[in-house]
Amino acid sequence: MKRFFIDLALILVFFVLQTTVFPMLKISSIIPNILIILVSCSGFMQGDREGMFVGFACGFLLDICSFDIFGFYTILYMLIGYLNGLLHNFFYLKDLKIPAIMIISSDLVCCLFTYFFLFLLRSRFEFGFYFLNIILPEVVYTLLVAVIIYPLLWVIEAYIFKKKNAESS
Amino acid sequence: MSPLVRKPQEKYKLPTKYWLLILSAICVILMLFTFVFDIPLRPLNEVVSVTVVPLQKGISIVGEKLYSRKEMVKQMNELVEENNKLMKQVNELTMENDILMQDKIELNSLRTLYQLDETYSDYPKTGARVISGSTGNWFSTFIIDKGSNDGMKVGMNVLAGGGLVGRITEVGANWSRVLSIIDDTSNVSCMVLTTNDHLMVSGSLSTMENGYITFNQLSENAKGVEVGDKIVTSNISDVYLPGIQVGLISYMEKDSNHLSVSGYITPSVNFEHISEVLVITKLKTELE
Repeated sequence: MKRFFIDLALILVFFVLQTTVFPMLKISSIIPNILIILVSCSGFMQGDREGMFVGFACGFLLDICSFDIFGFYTILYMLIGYLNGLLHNFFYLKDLKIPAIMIISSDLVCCLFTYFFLFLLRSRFEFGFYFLNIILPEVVYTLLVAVIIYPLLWVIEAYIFKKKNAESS
Repeated sequence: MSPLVRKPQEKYKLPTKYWLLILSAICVILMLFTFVFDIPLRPLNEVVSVTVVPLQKGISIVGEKLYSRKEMVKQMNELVEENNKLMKQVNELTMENDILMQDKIELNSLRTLYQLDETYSDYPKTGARVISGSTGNWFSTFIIDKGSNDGMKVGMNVLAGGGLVGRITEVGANWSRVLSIIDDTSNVSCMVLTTNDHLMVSGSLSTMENGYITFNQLSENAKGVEVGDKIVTSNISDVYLPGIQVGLISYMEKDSNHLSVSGYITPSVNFEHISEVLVITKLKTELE
């Protein structure tokens, strides 16, 4: 129950940051995607079930606030959360390589899907342009922000884990 | 004990795989529903009204205050200097103003004589604050702090600094989503102010890097259209009110079919720093 409320609070805080604070911190008009960091980390740290629900909630908010075809981001973020959750067993290896790769690939998948379904299908064919000017900067910027955010999420996760162990023993 | 046998006190949990399937199915149905029928999802919008919008409003107010405080300190010294300069200018301008006032009175009387058409300054407008920027790098939509409670409706035109910003595409109780004209999916039917030739203005993510949006479908026979001409919304558009300034032509070129002309437009609104907008509370369909 406690985990549910913490996750809910995290989703709201991250969404509000994504839409209000980070647009002010644009670097050459690129915003980092911090929601994907949350979704990816939730899946990775807590398992496929939690990753799926966090992804669902994040995508749901994004869909209401940004796009006309409702459900696109919901299904995309939900799948990303679920797939990250499948690698839950590699957590607690205490190295940063795997989470970094997870976040990069999640963001990349998210961008590529957005490009493919919402741009390519409207005959915007210059993939090279979109890749160099939007996808690549976004992935790099997201990774930089993740370096700050990941330890915070890690601390929260460790705290919940400790509490849970103390209760059950 | 076999893993398949549940302990009696343990609550049954639906396996994640089934959850994934059920939620995916719901999403696909919603996607088809909104794509095919184009029906706004009112009850879902209210989720955002309750959860996110109050937080966003708070942050945008705090952010604005911090920003203005920072600017205030920075500009204090400049202001003292500027004040002296301006005081001198005021004296000169007062003189000039007197002369202009006389001209204006004359102009007003002439205008009423000719019964000139109303300009868009006569549309009823209401101000709104932008509380949330776009959620990613692909689309240019933003959220304003007024919704159906304040009389906002889908399709209302949004202005800033005298130019067209976009239109409302979604309304919640205390928020509305605005699709700006620089968005990659946006199309606006416009005309050249001087010659009344019609053209289509489309937002474009790739040209927006250089600050342009694109136009096309200007007839090749349209003589007298030049770079620098003003573009306003056309009277045949079904969502945009006529005569709102969109931008200036900055480049034009004949298409390879030799039938039409296309090119770039510099929008009259600076889309990087929009914090307050004006919403015209009259719909195009309500005009006689």
